[in-house]
Amino acid sequence: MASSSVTWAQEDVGVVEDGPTLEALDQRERILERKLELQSEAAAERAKAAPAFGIGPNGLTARTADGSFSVRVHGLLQLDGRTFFSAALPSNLEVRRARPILDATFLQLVDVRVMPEFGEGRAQLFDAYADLHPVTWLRLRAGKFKPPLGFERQQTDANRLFLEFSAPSNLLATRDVGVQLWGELGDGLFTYALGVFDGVPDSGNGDVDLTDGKDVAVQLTAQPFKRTGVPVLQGVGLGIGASYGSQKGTAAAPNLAVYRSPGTQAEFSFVADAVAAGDHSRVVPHLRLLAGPLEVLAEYAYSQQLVARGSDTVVSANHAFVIQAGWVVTGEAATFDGLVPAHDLAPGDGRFGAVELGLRYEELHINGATFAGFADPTKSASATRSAGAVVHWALTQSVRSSVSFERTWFEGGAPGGNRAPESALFARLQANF
Amino acid sequence: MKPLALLFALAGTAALADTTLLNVSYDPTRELYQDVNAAFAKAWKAKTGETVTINQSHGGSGKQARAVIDGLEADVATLALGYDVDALHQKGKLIPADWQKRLPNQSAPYTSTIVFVVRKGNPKQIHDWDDLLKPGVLVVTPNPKTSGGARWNYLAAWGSALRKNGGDEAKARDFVTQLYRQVPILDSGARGATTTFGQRNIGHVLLAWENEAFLLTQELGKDRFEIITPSVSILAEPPVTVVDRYADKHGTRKVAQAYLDFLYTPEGQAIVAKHHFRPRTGAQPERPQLFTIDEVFGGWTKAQQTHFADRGVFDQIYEGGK
Repeated sequence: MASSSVTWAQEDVGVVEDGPTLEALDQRERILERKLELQSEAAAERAKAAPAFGIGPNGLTARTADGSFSVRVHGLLQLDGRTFFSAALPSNLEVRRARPILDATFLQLVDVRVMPEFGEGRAQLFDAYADLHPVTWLRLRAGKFKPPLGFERQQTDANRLFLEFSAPSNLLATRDVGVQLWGELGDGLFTYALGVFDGVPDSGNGDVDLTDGKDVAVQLTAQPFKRTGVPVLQGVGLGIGASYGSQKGTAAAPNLAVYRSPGTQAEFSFVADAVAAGDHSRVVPHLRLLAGPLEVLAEYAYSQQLVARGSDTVVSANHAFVIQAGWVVTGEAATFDGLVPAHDLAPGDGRFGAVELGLRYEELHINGATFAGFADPTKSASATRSAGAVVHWALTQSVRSSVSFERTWFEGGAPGGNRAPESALFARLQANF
Repeated sequence: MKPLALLFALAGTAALADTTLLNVSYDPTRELYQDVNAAFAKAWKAKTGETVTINQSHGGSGKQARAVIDGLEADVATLALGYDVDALHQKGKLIPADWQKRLPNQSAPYTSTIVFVVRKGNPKQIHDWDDLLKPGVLVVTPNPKTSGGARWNYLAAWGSALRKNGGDEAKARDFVTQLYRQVPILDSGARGATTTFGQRNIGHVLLAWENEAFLLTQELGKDRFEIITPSVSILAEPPVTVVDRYADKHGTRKVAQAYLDFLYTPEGQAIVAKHHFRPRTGAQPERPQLFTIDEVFGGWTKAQQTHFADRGVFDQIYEGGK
């Protein structure tokens, strides 16, 4: 409307017989300038009110002008090449993980995540939860997600130091369906989580629970020196988690764990007719350190499950530990949230991303009673010890290539005694966006 | 301290805790409410011991009403038009239908009217409404579709033409049609129109709230502008209300009500007068002769429907002028 009126003004006012007066010309110029100014203001106003769309290292994003609602579509893709030097296993290429991820926030109060997994021939829902977070110290999460046990388990699959889980994480749940209260206290000095879950076997990923038994899980973590002035202490963190529940299985669904080596090969399983028969408890302490380019994690896990085979029962009590360290040789600060290069790869500018080296040693022990009829010592190892190294090259914040080598020694696990050591060389190209 | 005693102590502390109000208002009241807020906060502190902070939000009256309806959680609304406050009830169910009866003077604690601002020396010799139609006169007024103040301007022009022509609606329509042909720019709000006229030096006459006219002359220089009071104009009654739903949600109803009551006190009315709004108390100037929207247009709802709704009279005369 405003634009049309300018025309009227030019035609109808400030015109004399000999043509426009100087004043009219001046007014005409001012009107045109003001009109442009108003159009610019209106455009800015419309832009402020319009939803914002973006694309970048964090995927595709959209949010309303006031930030009340936002959506982010991103993903994780891991392509692996695997070679086993000493085991009778084929070398192969595989899609280890392929995950489209949808994150949404409603009213800046509720976060929602939906994440299916399509790697290794699976089509399974991994994360599907809603997080109500009125305040940082009190949040409520419900749905399917990682139960609050173990530090390595809580790290995202794109950001762990090693390509595959360590032995302690074997003893913990992958995902479970439940509800938990959690939050931060003291501006991040402490975190807590307390949840009730359907309950899954060690390394289990539950979707449907056919029993009444439930697991209660709790975890507390602290960074007690976070506010001290001592840098090496500021990055010290510790935590402990525990769970207790009753899980029972059936012949069709034994509800028992299979533990896997760093090369992802089954190293321990129960005999086929054994089933979970009741109490299942876990304890998981950890100690961690971040100091400049250095990261260290030491984690221990203990898991015991009452197992039945016919009328016999046994408490299968197993434990594992890992100690691992990483060093970012290009000088960036190490984090537990992934390797972020100071500069993305740009060879022409002399920038080559970031490189991190890692080492780890881990052990897993199965109690002897388990082998009294509940596990086959010619197929399952009673203990494993592994040592490995990894190197990561982060080309950008989103793209990383990695190579790891791990050698595992077994106690038992073969008809003739000890299974032959496993030497696994894994290479991975990862896009996390 | 025992836990129960501690609980009561905390509760007592909470009762004296700071309270914050949000006053969603229209463009020309910014300075008025800055003073009102400071005075009320002081009075409230003296009376109750409670610290109250009043935040202000200003914009075009219609846009502000829309924002509140859409979720801007105002504790009080102090808008330009009864129509905009009505919308809080009709479209948002945020206030009761009889909101206007809850405070004296139809919930309008101050009034104003529409006057002319001309450049110093009044080079176009503008003294009354008819002078606006002189050849070559450029009139600055905002868009009545988006600005409450602009609607007052429009209705003031229409009503004055009616008065002059013995109630002849056709002549009033002709007058307003001619008037808007001499409007080069329609700003979205009253403050924008003031900028167009006062700072961008566009036009020969600005139709403005009386208080806005004084503010313009004070801020931009008395040596640059003159205020011309026409013989006839409209009585603008900007209304105020507690926004019940949000005040109750915030637990601020009591202080919000007191805030609006304060506007009617001698201190509040003095602040109103200081900012060139017309207080409800005291003698009123003789010029202009004032008519109300109820008298001439049958109230805001009818005026809105007739003149400013889509395809209403304003759309017809403005589109027709293209």
